[in-house]
Amino acid sequence: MDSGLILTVGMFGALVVSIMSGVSLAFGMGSIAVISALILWGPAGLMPIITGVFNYMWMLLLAAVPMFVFIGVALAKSGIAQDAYDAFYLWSGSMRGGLAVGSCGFAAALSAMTGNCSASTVTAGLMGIPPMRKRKYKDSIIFGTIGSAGTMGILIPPSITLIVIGMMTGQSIGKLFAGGMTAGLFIIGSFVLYIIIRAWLQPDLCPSIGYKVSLREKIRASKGVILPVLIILAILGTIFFGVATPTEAASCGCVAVLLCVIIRGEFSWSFMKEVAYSTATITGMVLWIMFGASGFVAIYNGGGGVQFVQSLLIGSEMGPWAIFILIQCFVFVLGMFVDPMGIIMLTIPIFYPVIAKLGFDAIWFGVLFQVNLCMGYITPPFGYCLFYLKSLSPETDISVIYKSALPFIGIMILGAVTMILVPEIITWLPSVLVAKG
Amino acid sequence: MRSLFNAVDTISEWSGRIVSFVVYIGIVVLFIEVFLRYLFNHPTVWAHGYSQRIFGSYFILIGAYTLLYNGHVRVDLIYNRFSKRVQAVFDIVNYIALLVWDVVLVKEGYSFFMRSFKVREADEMVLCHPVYPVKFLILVGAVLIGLQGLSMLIKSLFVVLEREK
Repeated sequence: MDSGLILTVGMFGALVVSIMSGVSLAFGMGSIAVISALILWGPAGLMPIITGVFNYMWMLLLAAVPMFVFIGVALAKSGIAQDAYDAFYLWSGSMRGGLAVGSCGFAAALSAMTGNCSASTVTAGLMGIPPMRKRKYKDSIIFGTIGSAGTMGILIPPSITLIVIGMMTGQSIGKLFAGGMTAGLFIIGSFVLYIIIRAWLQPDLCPSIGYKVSLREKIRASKGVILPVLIILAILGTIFFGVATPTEAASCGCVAVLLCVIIRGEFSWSFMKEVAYSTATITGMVLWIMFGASGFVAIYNGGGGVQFVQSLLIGSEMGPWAIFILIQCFVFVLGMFVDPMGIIMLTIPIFYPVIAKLGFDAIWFGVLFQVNLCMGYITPPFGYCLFYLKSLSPETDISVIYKSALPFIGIMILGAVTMILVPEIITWLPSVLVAKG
Repeated sequence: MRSLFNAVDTISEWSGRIVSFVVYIGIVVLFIEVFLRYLFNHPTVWAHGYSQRIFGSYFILIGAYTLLYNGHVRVDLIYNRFSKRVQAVFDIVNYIALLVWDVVLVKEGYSFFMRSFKVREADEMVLCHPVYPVKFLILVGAVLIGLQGLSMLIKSLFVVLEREK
């Protein structure tokens, strides 16, 4: 039998088994890399495991990861997130299904602030679920809305995963961010449309809050949000136009958010401590997955595995589109089991060269890849987001959450297909920006 | 024995807390660079090199703290269905996986550092400052997470064995 096949089945098989038995992704990849290296080359083959770790430590672009996490944590721990929710609540609450629409918008805004799914889903859920419950919204709409809009956290910039995709493919982060933003807004828009239509068809599904809110009240509620939103837009703007690198822009964002918190009078020693500690554990998780994956991929590549899969795909009789769809399906399935960061680290080095060789647009592929990961994030039975939702509402049966998520997954699949057929939804904004960075 | 575990937890806790604050240093350094470059058109030669050192050290040193707070994601779908004792068995498997990897990080990390130290390796850029201290921190970070993993492994072993006594 082909040694590439044995290596692929062995390493990835062992990885699936270890993940399913609850081994941390980072440790699973690291230990499998060690064992495979020992089998392939003996102790002399262990060096790539450490050089990979150092390479990522030395990557200045990755400094953007803790800083974007920092921005998200700081916003969530200050009153800014609550204010943002209140604003969405008042602006959209009076129409039927309005709270769900508002939560969608809120989750999207949070995604733009935090750049990761767990933070946007949990925060959106903590603030969004109780008022919807109070207004007698049905569970079937609540969980799908929060969970699916929360997964957009890895798509809507500043997205940590898009930064890593950019790093691994050598594509412009600004362009990926721009494409991710239009794709994310397109999908959020579809969610909103779906909620409005369903609310119109089923009046008891998500009733309106029943009273009118005066314009003055709405404007007053929005005041606390305007500054942070402007900051986020400014950060994204500088990245889109290639004025500053993502790392530099992130550092300015951190300073700006801290200033906002100081102006709001919420700054204290304990705030500084809490933000630093949460940032550290989230960053630790992300970076150690990358450390583990660097060893795993280096050993797999060294053993000829990447070569094997690539020649298998290119050498097959399949056309480019069949290969493209096969890759997307594979990523989707993987997305149900494995953390997005892990998938990116494991599959981009294998698949990206194939996609580039077949002549597909790199930015378009990167964003679609990301949309796919979002879907995997909320697809039953293993999607991580479903468990975040469950933890937010322990008394709800997981099957209710599954059912609630399904229509939204359908919309995301439709959205992805639309973006495959009409690539301009993703590629238009990046193409008009004069990005250099 | 107990006090030894507590000592390890305390080391992870405090190393983590101190290292957590490094993010502020990194933010300030990068912000100064942006400030000087875009407003005064006067970029520094040191900011990027030192950001690499600051964040690189941060990444490797927070591993143990993340482990202490169970921050390294796991799929707990099967895990949650079992009793505390069976869960402890799964935990042991998890920590063994960590240690298998970590032993290599420590061992190879040591020779990686020594090779760099012997030649007093420095940046290739204008800065030309030493690189080997960062490589030394890989060793420190790996030892820290290894200790934490070992401590948690033994604690889980106690959970498994406890009721059999």
